[in-house]
Amino acid sequence: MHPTFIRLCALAGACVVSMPLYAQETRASVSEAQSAAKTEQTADAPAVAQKPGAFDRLVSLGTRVSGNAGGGNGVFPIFGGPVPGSGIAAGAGLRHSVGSGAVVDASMSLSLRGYAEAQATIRSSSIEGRASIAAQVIAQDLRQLNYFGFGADSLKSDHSDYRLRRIGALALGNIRATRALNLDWRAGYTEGRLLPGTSSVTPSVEQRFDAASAPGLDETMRYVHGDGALNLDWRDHPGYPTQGGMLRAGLSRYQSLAVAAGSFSQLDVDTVHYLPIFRRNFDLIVRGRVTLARPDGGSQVPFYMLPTLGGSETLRGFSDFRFRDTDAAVVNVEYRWPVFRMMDAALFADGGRVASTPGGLLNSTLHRDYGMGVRLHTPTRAIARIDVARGNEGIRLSVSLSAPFKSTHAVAPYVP
Amino acid sequence: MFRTGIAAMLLVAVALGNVAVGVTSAGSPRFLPDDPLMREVESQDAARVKPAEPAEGLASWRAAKAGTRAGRIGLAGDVNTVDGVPDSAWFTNRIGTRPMTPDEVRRGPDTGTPPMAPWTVVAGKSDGVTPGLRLQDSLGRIYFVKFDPPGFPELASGAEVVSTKLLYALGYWVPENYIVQVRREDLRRSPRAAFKGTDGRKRPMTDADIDFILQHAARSGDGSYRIVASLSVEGTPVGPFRYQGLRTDDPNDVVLHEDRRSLRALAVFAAWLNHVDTKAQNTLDSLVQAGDMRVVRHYLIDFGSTLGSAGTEPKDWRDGFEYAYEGRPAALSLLTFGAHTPIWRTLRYPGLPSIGRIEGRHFDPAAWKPTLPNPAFQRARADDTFWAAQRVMAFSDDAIRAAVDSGEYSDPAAARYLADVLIERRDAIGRAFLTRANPVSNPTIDGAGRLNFRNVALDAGVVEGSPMYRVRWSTFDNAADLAASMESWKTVRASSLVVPEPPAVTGPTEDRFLMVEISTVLAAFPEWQRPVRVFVRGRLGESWTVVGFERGTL
Repeated sequence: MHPTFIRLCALAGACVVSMPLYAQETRASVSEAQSAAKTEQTADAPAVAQKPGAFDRLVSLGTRVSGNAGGGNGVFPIFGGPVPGSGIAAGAGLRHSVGSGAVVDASMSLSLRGYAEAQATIRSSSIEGRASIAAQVIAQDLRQLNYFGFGADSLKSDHSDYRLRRIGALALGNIRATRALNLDWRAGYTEGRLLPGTSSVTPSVEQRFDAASAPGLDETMRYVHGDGALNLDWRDHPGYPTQGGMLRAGLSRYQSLAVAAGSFSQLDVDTVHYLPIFRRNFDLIVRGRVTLARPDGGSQVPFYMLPTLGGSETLRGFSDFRFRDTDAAVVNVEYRWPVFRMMDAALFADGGRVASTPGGLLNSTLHRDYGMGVRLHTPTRAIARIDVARGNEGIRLSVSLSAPFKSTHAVAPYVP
Repeated sequence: MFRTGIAAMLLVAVALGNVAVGVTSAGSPRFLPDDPLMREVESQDAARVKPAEPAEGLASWRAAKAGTRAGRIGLAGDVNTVDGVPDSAWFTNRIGTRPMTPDEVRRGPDTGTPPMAPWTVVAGKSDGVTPGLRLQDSLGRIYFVKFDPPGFPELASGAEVVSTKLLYALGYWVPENYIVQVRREDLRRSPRAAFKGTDGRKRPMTDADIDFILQHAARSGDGSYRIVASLSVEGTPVGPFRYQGLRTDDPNDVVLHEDRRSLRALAVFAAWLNHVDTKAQNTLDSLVQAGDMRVVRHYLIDFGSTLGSAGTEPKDWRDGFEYAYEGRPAALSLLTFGAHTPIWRTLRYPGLPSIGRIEGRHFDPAAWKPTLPNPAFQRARADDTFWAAQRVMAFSDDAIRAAVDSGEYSDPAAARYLADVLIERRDAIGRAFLTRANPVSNPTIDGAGRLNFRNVALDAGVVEGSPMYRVRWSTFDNAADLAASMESWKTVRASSLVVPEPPAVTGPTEDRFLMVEISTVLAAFPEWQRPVRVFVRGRLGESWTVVGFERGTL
C-alpha cells in the first residue's frame, strides 16, 4: 500500500481514538489527552526539521551579500560587471585575514557579453582605521567597448566597438584625516592590447576609424601612472545616500611607455549633494563633474583614455561612452521620493558637454536627456536601479546595481 | 514533502477539532471541576523535538493575509475560563496579575551576578547584518555579544536591555541581557574559537576576526566598547518558533500559534515598544528539563530593533506605520510623485543618537504595524488587545523609568525622553484598547461573599465619569450550558454585588452555578452596554468562587 494512504489511515484512527477523550473529567485531562493524541499521531513519523523556504533563502543570501560588503572573511558573491555596458555579470571572491589588520581577497567575474575580470588585493589598515595601504594585480578583458569618434558632434551612426585586454599592478592607499576628509593615492603600471570588438551588430573600431580619428588605435597600451585625490565625503550612507554630499578633486598622471605621444595629465572634480526636502522624505540630488585631460605637448590622449559621457552614470539617455573629448562636463539633477520601504522613484534630467578645450565646454553642443526610474535599496545600500531616459537619440533603458553618481576611477579605459 | 504537508494539516485539523469540540459543543459541561486552569498542561515528553531552521518570511506574510481573510476569528485557544492566560512554556503571569515593584522591573529576568571579565572569545560571526561574538566570562557562562553601531552609541544596546525588562515583566520568556563595557585587551581568543564568515561556513577564528568585528562597533571615548551580553538560555536550543501553525514535533504544542493570546497580545506590546521585527528569527525554542521529562520553552530574543533602534541605525521613518510593502500607499506615492503625505512623513524626532526614532504624540496603537505582517497579530481580537492593554497599563511611571534606567543611557536627557515616550505610548494603548469594550474586569469574591469587579478604563484614568452598571443574575445549568434569568435587569452604581441565593441546585452535581451579566452605562461609550458575563460556582461547604468570565463576542 502507498505510504501516504497508510499514514492517512493512521491519522484518521488517531482522530477517532482521541474523540472519547473529551469526556474526561477535568480540563487538565482533556489537555493531556490532546497532547497524548498528538504524541501517538507523530510517534512513527520521522522528526522533520523546518526548512527555510525560497523567500527566506533569498533574504538570507541578501543578508550575506550585505554582510559581505562589510568585508568579512570567506567566499563572497560579486554582482555587476567591471565597466558600464558589461551586461549582466556575476562572480565570486574569497577574502581572508592574514596577520593583524591585513586582508587578502581574490575574485573573478564574468558577464553575459563575455567581459571578464580577475583581481587579487592585499589590504592593510591601521588599528585606528585611519590609514590603509593595498596592492592589487588585475586582469581584464573588455570585449565590446563603444567608440563613436571624438568631439561633441560625433555621430551615432559611427558606432563601433573595440576590445581591450589589460593587466595591471597597483599600489594604493588612503589616509583619513577626519570622518569626512580623506586623501587617496594610487601608483601603478598597466599594459594592454586593443583588439577588434566582438559585437555582431556594430563594426569594429578599426573598420570605421583610423589612427587620426582614434588616437592610439595602432599602439600597445603601456603606462606607468599615479594619481591622488582629496575627498570630502559627508554622505550618510555612501551605499545609498539620503543626505550629505561628496566632493572629490583628483589629479592623475599617465606616462606612456609605448605610445610615444600618449602621455597626459588629468584633472577630475566630481561633486554630488543630497538635499533632503521635507524632513528627509524627498531628496533633491544635484551632481556636477568636470574632467580635463591635458596631453603632453604635441601629443594626443589615446581615444580609450579620453573623458567620456553617456550611460547610467552621466547622460542616461545616451549609450555608454557616447561622447569623448579631452574635456567633459556633466550636470545631473534628480528628484527622488520614496514609494515603499525598499523602493524609491526618481525623476531626473542630465546635461553634458565634451570639448577639446575648457572654454569649449561653454559653447559646444549640449546633450540633454530626462527620464524617470526606480531604485531598490536597503536602508544603507543600493540593490538595483532602473532608469528610462529620453535624449535626442531616442529612449534608453539602463539597469545598474549601484546608486547613481558613483564616482568611478578606473585606470583604463576611462570610465565615467 | 507532500506527505509531511498532509500530516501537518491533519494534525492541525485534529488539534482544532479537539479544542473546538471540547470547549463549545452542546451537551458538554462548560466548566470542568478544575476550572479555571492557571497552568497550561504540558504532559508529554518533548525529547524527540529536532532543531529547526528559521523559516518564515513569505510564508508568514501569506498566513497573515489568509488570517485577515479568514472571516470570524475565534476566541484565543490558550485562555482559561476566566479570560486569562495560564502560565506555560510560552507565558508567565507577572505584571497585571500581581504587582511588580520598579526594582523588580529593573531586575527583569536577571537571576545571578552580571558577567565578569576577563572574557574568552569562543566564537564569532560576520555573516548577517550585525557581526557578533560569543564570549565566556570568568565564571564559565556563555554570552552572545552584540555591539552598538558606529555613530550611534547606546542605541541598540539600550533598546535591547530596556525591552528585555519590559517584555519579561509582561510575561514572556526572554534571555538575561546585560550591558557591559569591554576593552580589546579584555578579549582573549580561545584556541578552539570558531568563526563563521560571510559564506556561512565555520573556520578557526583569528585575532584579526575580532579586530574586524570591533571595527564595525561603536567605540567609547576611552577606547572601550559597550556590549550587550546575552546569557545563553536554559536548555538546548531547537530553533525558532513561528507565529502560525504548530510545531509538529512538539506533542505539547496543540494550540495554533496564531490563536495563542500570548502571541496575539504581543501585537499590543510590540506596538508599545515599537518592536517592528517580530519574525520567527527573533524567537527561540529551547528544550528544557521539567521534572522527569523535557518540554519546549518559547523565548523572544533579539530586541535590538525595538524602541527607536533599527539595530544598525535609527529606525526608518515609516517603521511602525507601514509594512515593508503596502500597495495603496506605494501607488499613491508613486502616482503623486511623492506628494502623498502619510503621517510618518510629518513627524519630528529629537535627534538623540542613543534613542533613534520613537515618539509618543502621534502613536496610534491600533494602527501600528510591524515590518512584516504577523499572523498572530492579524488575528488579535478586541478581547486580546483589552487583555494586553490591562498589562501595559499596570506599569507605573516609576516602573517604566526603572526599566529605562536599566538601559544605562549616559545622557540623562535621552533616558528622560525615552521614559516619557513610553509613558505616552502606554497611555495611548489604554485609551485605544480599554475603551473598545465594556471595561468591567477582574471579578473576585471577597470575604463577605460579595462579587467585586473593576472598571479598568476608569482605574487606568483613560476615561472620566461616573458610570452606572446594569446587572442581571441568572442560574446556570453547567451540564446543559444553559442560563435562566432569576430577575430583571437592575441598575447599580457600586462595583460590588451581593451574590443572590439560587432557588435550587441547578446541576447534576453538588456544584451550583450562577451567572451575572454586567453592562456599563456611560453616555460617551455606548458599546460598553454589551454585557460581560461572570460565572460563579458554589461548592458544598464552600463560598462562591469565580469560575468563568466572558467579555462576549466583540
